[in-house]
Amino acid sequence: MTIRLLAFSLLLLASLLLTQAEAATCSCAGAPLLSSIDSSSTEPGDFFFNYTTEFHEMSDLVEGTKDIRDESRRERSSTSQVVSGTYGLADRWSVSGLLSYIEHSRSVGTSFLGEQNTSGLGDAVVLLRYTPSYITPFSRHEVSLGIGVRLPVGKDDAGGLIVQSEDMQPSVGSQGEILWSSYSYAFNQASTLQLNLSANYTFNNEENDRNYSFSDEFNFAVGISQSIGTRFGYSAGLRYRTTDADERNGFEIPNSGGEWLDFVPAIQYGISDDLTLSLSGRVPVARDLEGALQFTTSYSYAFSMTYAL
Amino acid sequence: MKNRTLCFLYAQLALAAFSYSGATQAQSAHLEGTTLVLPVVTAADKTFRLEFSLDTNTSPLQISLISAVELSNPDSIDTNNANSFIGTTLSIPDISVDGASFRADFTLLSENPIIFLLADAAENGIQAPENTPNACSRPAPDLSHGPNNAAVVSGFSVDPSKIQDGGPAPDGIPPLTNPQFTQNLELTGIFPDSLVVGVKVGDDIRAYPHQILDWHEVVNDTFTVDGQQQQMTLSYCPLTGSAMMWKGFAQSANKTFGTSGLLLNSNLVMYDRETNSLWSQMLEQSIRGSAVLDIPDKVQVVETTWETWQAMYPETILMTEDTGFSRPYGTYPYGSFRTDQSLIFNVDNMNDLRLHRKARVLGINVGDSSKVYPVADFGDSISLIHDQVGGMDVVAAGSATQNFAVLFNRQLEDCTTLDFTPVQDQLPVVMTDNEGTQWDVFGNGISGPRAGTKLEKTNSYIAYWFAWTAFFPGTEIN
Repeated sequence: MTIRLLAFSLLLLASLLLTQAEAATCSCAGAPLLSSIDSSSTEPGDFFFNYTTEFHEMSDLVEGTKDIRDESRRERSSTSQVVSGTYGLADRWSVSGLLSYIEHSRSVGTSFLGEQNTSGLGDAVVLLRYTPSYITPFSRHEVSLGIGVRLPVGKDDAGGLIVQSEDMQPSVGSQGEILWSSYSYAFNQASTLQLNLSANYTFNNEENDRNYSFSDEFNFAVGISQSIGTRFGYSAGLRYRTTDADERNGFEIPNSGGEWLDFVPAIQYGISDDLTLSLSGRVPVARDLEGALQFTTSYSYAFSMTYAL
Repeated sequence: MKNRTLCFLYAQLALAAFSYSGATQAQSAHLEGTTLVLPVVTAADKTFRLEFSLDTNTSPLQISLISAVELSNPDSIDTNNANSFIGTTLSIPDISVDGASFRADFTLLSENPIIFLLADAAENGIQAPENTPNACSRPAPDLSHGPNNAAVVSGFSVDPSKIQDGGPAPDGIPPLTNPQFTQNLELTGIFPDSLVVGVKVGDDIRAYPHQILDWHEVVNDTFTVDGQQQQMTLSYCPLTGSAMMWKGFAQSANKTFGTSGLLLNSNLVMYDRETNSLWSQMLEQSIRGSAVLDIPDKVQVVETTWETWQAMYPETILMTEDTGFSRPYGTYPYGSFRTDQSLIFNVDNMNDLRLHRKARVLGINVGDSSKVYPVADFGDSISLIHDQVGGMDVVAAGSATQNFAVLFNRQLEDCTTLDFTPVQDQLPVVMTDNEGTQWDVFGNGISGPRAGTKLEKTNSYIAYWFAWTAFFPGTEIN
C-alpha cells in the first residue's frame, strides 16, 4: 500500500506538471482540465477521484515579450472547479473522465460601468490511457500514451441578450481531440526522486455557434518530483505552451496566439493512504505573444484533493 | 418712449435721400441678404419704408435700423395688414422665409441707435403667395442613419443578437478625456501620410491622428463656442474606418462617452456616462437604454492625411501621444486588417464584394436611398461629382491623392441650386460655384457673393465598404 501510495503520489505530483488544456481563448482564461486528471498508474479495478479548484489571474498586459503598464486597471480572472475520476480498465489500460464548472470575471478600474461575470458548466474530457511500461523496483521507466476528446457539454452563450466574448464563456463551444503522452524516470530504486516529461496536443478544428474556432495547442512540461518521508512530496518544473491565432469564419483573430513558459511548483501531503492534498501554482517565466497587445496570465494557484477508492 | 422714437424717425427723414410717391408699393416684408426690408410700416398716422440690418450673431435676433423713409401720398398705399410700430412693438404680420410665411414681433431695445429685439415669431400656416420667389422643395438631410420609427423590443432598437462582445470589457479600450495638443511635431510620431481626423470649431482647429485613435476610439474633448465651454466627443472605429464628432447633450451633467466593448456589425458601440445608454456610431443613434432612439447633434469632421490637413490649416494643433496610457502608438493594433479582406466579427451582408471590403467610401443616406462614393475614385487632383440622392442635389468633392472626400447639399435655403467647378492648389478652398463664390472643405463660403454663408452639410461620413453595406444593404455605388 505504501509503495502504491508513493508511486501514486509522485505521479500525482508529476501530473501537476501536465499541460493544462485551456478551456478558452487567446492567451488567457483556461480551466485546468488535463492537469486535473490523475496520471498515476492504475491497476485494474482501481478508482481515483480528484477534485481541483483553481484561481487564475490574467491581468498582465504584454506586447510581444515586453510587459506593459496597464493604466486602465483591468482585472480579469477565472475560477474553476474540476472533478475527475480515473478507473483501471485492465492491465496497462485506464480511462479518465472530467467535468468542470467555470466562473469568469472582468472589470476595468477606470470604467464607469461595473464588473461583468459569467458562470456555468464547462467542458468535459474523456481520456483513454495506455501505459506499456511502469516504474517498479525492477524498472525505472514509465511511459504512458493517451487519446481523448474534449466535449463542449457546457455553457457557451453566457451574457444574456448580448452574448459575451469567447474568453468569458465557461465552455469552448466546440469539440476538440487530444493526444497525450508522458515519460517518467526514477533516479533510485525506491523511486522517491523522478524526472517527469509530458506533452500533449489539442486539435481545435471546429467552430462554435458564432463561427469562432480556437487554435490548436501544444504543451510540453519537464520537471522533477520527490517524496519526503511517507507523507510529504514536492515537484517543480517548467511548462511550455504554444498556440496559433484563433479564427472566425476562417480569418485569423489579431492579438491571439503566442508562446508561454511557466514555472509550476507544487507540494503534496498524504493525509492517509487513500487521501492526498496538494497545492500548486503557476508563475510566468517568459512569453512571446502575437499581435500588438494581449492580456495574459499573471499567476494561478490550485488546490487539489485525490481520493483512492 | 413712443413720442421720442417717432421724433427720431422724423429726424431720420430729414436725412432721407428720396421719398416714394404715387403708385402702391409691395407691402410684403422680405429679406435681401442680411437686410430686412419693410416696404410699408405704419407708425401713428404716418407710413414709412424701413430697412434693418440683421445681426445674425445675436440670440434672440436683433435688428438695427439702417434706413427710414417716410412715404409720401400715403392715401395711395394699402395699409391693410401692413407692418406697424405701436408703442414699443414693431409688428410684422407676414414675412416669407424659405417658402413659409411667418409673423414676427420685435421689441424696441435701444433708441440710439435704434435696435429691436425679436420677441415672438410664429408660422402663419398661410401658403406663400405665388409671387414669392423662394418657394421650393428641399429634402432635409437624415439626422441619423438609424431606421425610422424603429420598434424598441426588450429595450433594444436593433436585434440584440447582432450585438457582439468585442472582448476588452467596457472601457477596456480606454477613452481619452481632454487630451494634449501641440504644434511642435517633435512631440508626435506623425508622418506626412498618417491619417488624421480634422475638426474646425470656429478658430479652433485640431487634428486627431488615427494612430492614437486606433488605441482609444473615443476622445472626450472641450471647445470654446461663443465664450462657452462645449463638450464634444470624437469617435473613431478602427474596425470600420469611420469617424465622427458629436456634441455633448446640453441637459446632461456628464456629457462624455465611453467604449462599451460591444460591436454592431463590427462597429463601435459607445455608452453615455449620464444614462449608460448604448449608442451605435454608424447608426448615429442610441440603441438601448433610457436614451434609446435619441440622435446626437453632429459636428462635421474631415478625414485626410496629416500633410493635406496641414496644407489646409497650417495653424492646426495636433493631439499628442501624451495620453496617460502606455500604448505602442506606432503599431497598428489589428495586424493586416485594414488592407486585407478579413473580418474579425460577424457582420450582415458580408458577401457583398462589389468593392474590396476595406475600400474607403464616402456614404450618404437620404430617406430610403443610400449611395457611396469610393475615395479612391476621386483621382489625383481635386474632382467633383454632381449627383442626386433621394431627391437631394448633392456635390461630392475629393481627391484620392490628397485623401479626402466631403459631400454637401448644393441646393441652398433660397432654393438656388449651385453648380461647382473644382479649385486646385488653394486648400482649404476646394471648389467655386457658378455665381463666383469659393467654398472650403467644410462648406464655408470664403469669398464671393455668398461669402460668410455655409453649404448645408449632409449626414455623410467615410467608412470601410463592408461596414457600409452591412448597415445599409443595397447601397448604390457611384
